[in-house]
Order: sequence, then structure tokens, then C-alpha cells
Amino acid sequence: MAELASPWWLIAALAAGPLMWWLHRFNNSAEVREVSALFLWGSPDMKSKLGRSARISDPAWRLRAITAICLFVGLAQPIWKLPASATIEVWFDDSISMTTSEKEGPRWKSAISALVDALQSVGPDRVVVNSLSIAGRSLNLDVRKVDRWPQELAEWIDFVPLARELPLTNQMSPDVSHWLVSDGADPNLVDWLRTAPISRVVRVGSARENVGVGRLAVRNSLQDPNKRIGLVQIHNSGDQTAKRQLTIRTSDLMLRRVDLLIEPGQQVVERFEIDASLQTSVEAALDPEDNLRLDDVLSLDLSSVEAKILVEMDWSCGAFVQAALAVHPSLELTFDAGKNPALSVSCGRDRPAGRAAQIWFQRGDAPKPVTDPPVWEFDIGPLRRIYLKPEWLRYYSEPLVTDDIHPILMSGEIPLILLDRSGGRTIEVRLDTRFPTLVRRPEFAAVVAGLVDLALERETLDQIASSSLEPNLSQIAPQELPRVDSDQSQSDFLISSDLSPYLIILAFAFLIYDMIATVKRRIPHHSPSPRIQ
Amino acid sequence: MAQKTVKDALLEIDENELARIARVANRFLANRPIVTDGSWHHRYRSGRGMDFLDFRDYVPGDDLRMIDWRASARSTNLLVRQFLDDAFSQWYVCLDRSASMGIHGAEKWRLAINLAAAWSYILLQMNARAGLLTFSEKVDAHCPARRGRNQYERTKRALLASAPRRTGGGSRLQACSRELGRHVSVVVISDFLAGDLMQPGLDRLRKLGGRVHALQVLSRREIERGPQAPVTLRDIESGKELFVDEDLEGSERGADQRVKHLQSALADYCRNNDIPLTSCETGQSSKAIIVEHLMRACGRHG
Repeated sequence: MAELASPWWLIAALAAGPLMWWLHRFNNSAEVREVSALFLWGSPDMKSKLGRSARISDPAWRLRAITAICLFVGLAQPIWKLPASATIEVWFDDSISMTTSEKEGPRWKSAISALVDALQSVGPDRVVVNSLSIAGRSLNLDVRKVDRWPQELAEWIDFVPLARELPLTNQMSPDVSHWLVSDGADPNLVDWLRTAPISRVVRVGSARENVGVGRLAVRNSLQDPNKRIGLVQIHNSGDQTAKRQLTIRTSDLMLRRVDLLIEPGQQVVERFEIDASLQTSVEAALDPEDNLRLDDVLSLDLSSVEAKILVEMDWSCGAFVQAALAVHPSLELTFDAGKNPALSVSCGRDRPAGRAAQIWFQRGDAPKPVTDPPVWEFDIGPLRRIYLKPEWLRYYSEPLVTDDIHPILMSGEIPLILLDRSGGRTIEVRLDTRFPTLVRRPEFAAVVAGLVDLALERETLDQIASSSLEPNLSQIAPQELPRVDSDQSQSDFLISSDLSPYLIILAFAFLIYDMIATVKRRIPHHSPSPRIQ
Repeated sequence: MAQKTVKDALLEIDENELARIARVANRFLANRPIVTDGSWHHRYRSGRGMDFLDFRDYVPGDDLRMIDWRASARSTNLLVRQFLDDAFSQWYVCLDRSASMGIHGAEKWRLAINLAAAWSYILLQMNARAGLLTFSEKVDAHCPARRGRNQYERTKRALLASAPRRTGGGSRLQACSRELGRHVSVVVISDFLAGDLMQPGLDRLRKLGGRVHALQVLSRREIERGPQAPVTLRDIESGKELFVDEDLEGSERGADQRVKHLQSALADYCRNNDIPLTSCETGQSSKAIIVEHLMRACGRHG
């Protein structure tokens, strides 16, 4: 079907034909031939056998009328619409807020029902359902089996309590129609909808009250090595004050139970203690459950939190090294190598046998003073913040044992601390650990703690186990979304083609042809004059 | 083929042939038969001229002022003076140089100047005074009538200097009568393609008292409209236009009929007014045309 973007030009097109004829009535540009006496051929008042006047309009008016009509119709911008393949891409909100229970059931079920009804009313040729949370996860619905759509969608939906990145709007295909199925609880949807080419939104859900457990975390106690301390974070994302009972427990043990009164928008933190020997999981639960149950319970596996890291020490390391290690809250020192320690610390001239992780405080004949300021060469995390003065340091200048080394601390060209990766992971320390100026300084203990983390390749000073839920995910209150066109019908699935360039080009082609033909006709045909000699 | 020039047309004139024609032309033009009762024929005749010709006996009715008393005293009878007929001896060729004469490659014009030159030669051979007028809307050139060989050269130069108009210029023969005196004979050479057939001009010339001869020069291509229709016909003289398509009666057949009608009307007029008329077409020999005209003129009158 065709439509006109500027229909007023059609009036000019309708007038072009009669106007061209009238303008050409007395302007005859047929071939001109000179004759001796015109009266031999008749008079201008004569009529032809058909009754036509001898002086008729220049027949060129027809081509010029067509040229003008083409031009005016082109200016009217005719647009030809062809039926296009009606493909709908549905962006299904599979955040946990869609599991909120409403009066008629979970939101996702209402969403599926509303979506199926909407799709049936449009009757697309193809339907693709995309996950709004998980990029690349999609489902093709068979348009011939509409009755199976609810079941297929119910089986396909997977609610993942993870923070998500909404799809990039500039990568959404412009050739298809995009729909959104959501409760509108995610605050990021507002900005996304402003740029996304969404032509229809299927909205479900009305419940607004929700209290959820936002975070559950446990760490080792700094005061009591036999204890761990934990905290639970609860927030109320609803509009009304909520009463809840918080229960914190392991599989066997009730740790704490507390009644809470949480104001709307308020965040409450509750602490608890747990024995460090327990390697089980701990759970924080709210009661009674509300509309969104997925955030009413949060659990944490404590097996990732180590009670102590066993470190095997060498007797020859000296008191100061031992003291620096002993003061580390996460380390347990032993002199028994048979206990399968996580880290070995040795001191001496000879390089110890390669183990998974070890620190070797090298000894030599005579330590030398450090003259150039020491510089941390390696990306070593917090160690870079420790500043060591040259006058605090002395080093042993011994030959390097292996080639596969990486400098950690350098003083000019002199290596002070090295990482040796050959046969394990060995931190070679060439600093004189018997030099009182160094070992009595608090920086020494910090350096040793940093070297322990470097050897074990993890942070050992402060271990925290945590389980959390994005606060946005617990938002269930539907928000005001930007308006989109929600009255889509089959007629919207059309490919538009602008015909005006073709008509204007055609008009110019006619014009050029007419110009050439007119020039040819206007050359009079007459006999040449006699030459006088 | 290269177009013939005016000079070429004049060069076509065979003066020897024309001289032979001139020896008999005076009989035609003087309305006398070639063969007379005497042993010689006279190319002169008496008339109201200035040149003395002869004496003759007085007969009642003669003008008494013409009596030559001295000659009569020597004679026993009254004698009257006779003079050469100037009217017979002064001729003008009026040549139409309107634009219609130059159409279709100036075929008509070349034939016309050929005829004009031939006529001048013949007249000069007959010891007449011959002049030349070219006219369109007015007299464009005037070569005064004289006798002799030099006059022929002057006439040829005047013809060489003439050319038909390119556009415009109707054929107003009446303009020539103002340039001519009484009792002057005229040969009009034109296509006579005018609405009035140039009759007013011919009437004026007749009233001068001399003889009037007409030579109509036409081209076979007069009625050639063109290869395709529709076409706009433009009158080369007036500039008027007529749009013609094949349905109009102004087709070639109609135009041909009109030409014949025109010729017939002109012939009737000339016959009624004692004007010898010869119609010719381009391609014909000027000598043949002149001979035909002379025979027609003679046959009319005797």
C-alpha cells in the first residue's frame, strides 16, 4: 500500500496537466518549413476533416505535463509499504523480582500469560524470546504451536540472583519489533527504555513491600583465634515498616535469633559469632517470608575460610623472623615439616629444596650496606606502599642460583628480594635479618606479611567469606517506565520504501529528452540563399 | 552537386542563339508577320518618337503640325514627317526579387535572371532601349533603359548585384509604374504567387500605354510540404505560420490544385487584358521559354 508524506503536492500534480495544455495552445514548435505562399496551403481558420482547428496545441505539452506530474508526485513523497516478515524479539525480565508472589500467582506466570495473549493478537511470523539478564540466552517459539508457548517459556525461564547488564540498545536489530516483558522493578530499566527500540511493554506485578537479606559475611576474629565473627545485612525496599524475625544458624546450631523492626528504606546489620573450628555453612533467614522469597534466606559456605595457615619454620631463622611470623593473625607456626604446611620459611646459605611455596632468608659471609634507595619492582600489591630506607638495610651479595628469577625489591642494580619460580615458588630474601635496624622496625613485620601473601598468592592477613545479593535485585516495587507504543498491530510490520527519488529522476530524464527534442524541432528547414558572385 | 550561382546562370546565355531569336523577335513584338510584302523587313516603325524616320503623303486627319512645309514645297503633295516609335523602342524588364523567388535553393531566381538577361539582349539587338528594374515591396534597383552593347553589360552587372530577399518583401509591382514613363513596354518576370496575382500592378503598367508581357516562373517544389506531419508552414515573405497535419485540406494535393487555379486565373486575366503570359518551371531552358512566349505573343495578335 502507498501513502503520501506531503499530500498537498498532489494538488499541484492535478493542475499540471491542464495548465501545460493551456500554456501550449498557441505555441507550436513542430518542424517549421518555409513556403513561397502560405495561401496555397489554406488559412489558419480552416478546419480539418475531423473538425479540428488548424492551429492546435503543441503536442509536446503531453510530455511536459507528464514531467511536471512526476515531479509533483515525487515531491509529495510517496511511500510504498510492503508487508515484511513480522518478527518479534521479546526481552523477558528474568530477575528474581519476577518471582514475587502476587494475588494471581508469581509474576513470571502472569507475564507468560500476558505475553502469549499479546503475541496471539498480533500474529507474528517469528518469535524469539531473549533473557534480559543472561546475554545470548534465547528461545525460539514455534508460531505453529501457540498452545505450547506457556509451557516452553516456563521451562526456559531461569531466575539468577546476579547483577546484570542490560543489552546494548545499538546492537538491537532495527529490522524486527522489540517487546519487553517486565515488572519494571529494576531501576536501570528506566534509562534503558529511553534508548532501546522497544515498541511494546508487557507489564505485570503490583506488590511493593519486600524485606531481604542483602549480605552474610564471616571472618576470623582478631581478638580470639578460636572464634569467627559474622554479620548479616537486612534492608527494607518497601514503602512500609516491616517486622521480621532474623534467624542465623548452621545446620546443627542456632546461632542467633532476633526480632527486627525495619523502616522503609532502612538497612539493618546484625552481628554474630561462630566457632572457628566449624567448617560448615551458615544461613541467615527472615521470617515470615514475604512476596519475594528468594531474598529471605542467604547462606554462606565457611569452608573457604581457613582457621590458620600452617607455616613451617627453620630454627636458624632467628627470633625476629619468628616474631614477625608469629604476629601474623592467620599463620600457625610449626617446626615439624611432617604436618604438611602450606608455607615453609627457611634461613641459611644454601637454597632449600623446591616446595610449593617457601620463603628463604638467604645468609652469606658479610652483609653489605645498601646505598641506593630500594624500589619494589614487581606488582606485589600492598607491599608497594611500604617504604624502606637504605640505611635500614644490609644485604648479602651471593651469586644467583637459578635464571628463572624476577626481582621484587631492587636497590639500583642490586637485587634485595627475588621471586624464583624454578621448582616451585620461592621468595629469596637477601636482606640481613640479623641487622637490628631493620628487624626492630614495624615495617619488617609488614614486609614479612606481604611476602607470605606473595608466596601463597592470596591475601592471608584478613580472610573474609561473604555471600551477598545486589540491593536492586530485592526491589520489587514497579516503577514508572517511559511510554512506548503499546498498540501494535499487523499493519506495523511493513517495509517502507520511499519512491520520491525515482520519480524525481524520471522527471529529470523526461526534461532532458524534451529539451533535446525541442532544440531539434526549432531548427527551421528552409532552402539556402543563392550565392552572389 | 554544387549550387549554381547567378554568374553561372548568366554564363548559360548563348548570345548567338539569342541574336538569331532577336532577328525574328521584332516581328513578334511589333505584331507583324515575319515575312512581309517587301524584300526586307523593317525593325523600325513610325510612332510618336523624336527620331526622324521618313516622309509620307498627307492624309486627312493628320496633325497639321506634322506637315513639313519645306519638304512639301519641293514636292507636289503635302508631306508629313514620320518619327521612330519610342514606345516600341523602350523596354523595361521588371524582375521580382521577393523572398519567394529565392526559396528552394533559388532555382526560380536563377531562371528569372537568365530570362531577364536574355530578354535584355534580344531587346538591345532590336535596337530598343532596354532597362532593368528589380522590385519587391519597392523598386530596389533601376538600370535605366539605353541602347547598345554596353547596356547589356550594365544589365548583367545589375543582375549580378541583385539577389532575392531572404525574408519578407512582398511583390508590389505597382511600385515599378512610378519609375516608368508613359508608353514604356514592360516584361514582368515573377512567380506571381500573390493573393491578388499582382493584377493591380499589371493594371498600372498597362495604363502606361506600353505593352506588358508576363513570364511566370514556378518551381516544381512549390507545393512540397515536407516529409512528415505535423509541420508548421511559414510564409517566407509575410512570416505568417500555419500548422498543418495530414488531415487538413492544405495538403499537397490541395496546394497543387490551388497553384493550378492560380495559374488559370492569371491566364484569364492576362488574356482579357491583352497581356501575353507564359508560365514556366525551373529546369526549362530560357531560350525555349522565350521562343514559346514570342510565338504565343504572335499567335495572339496575328
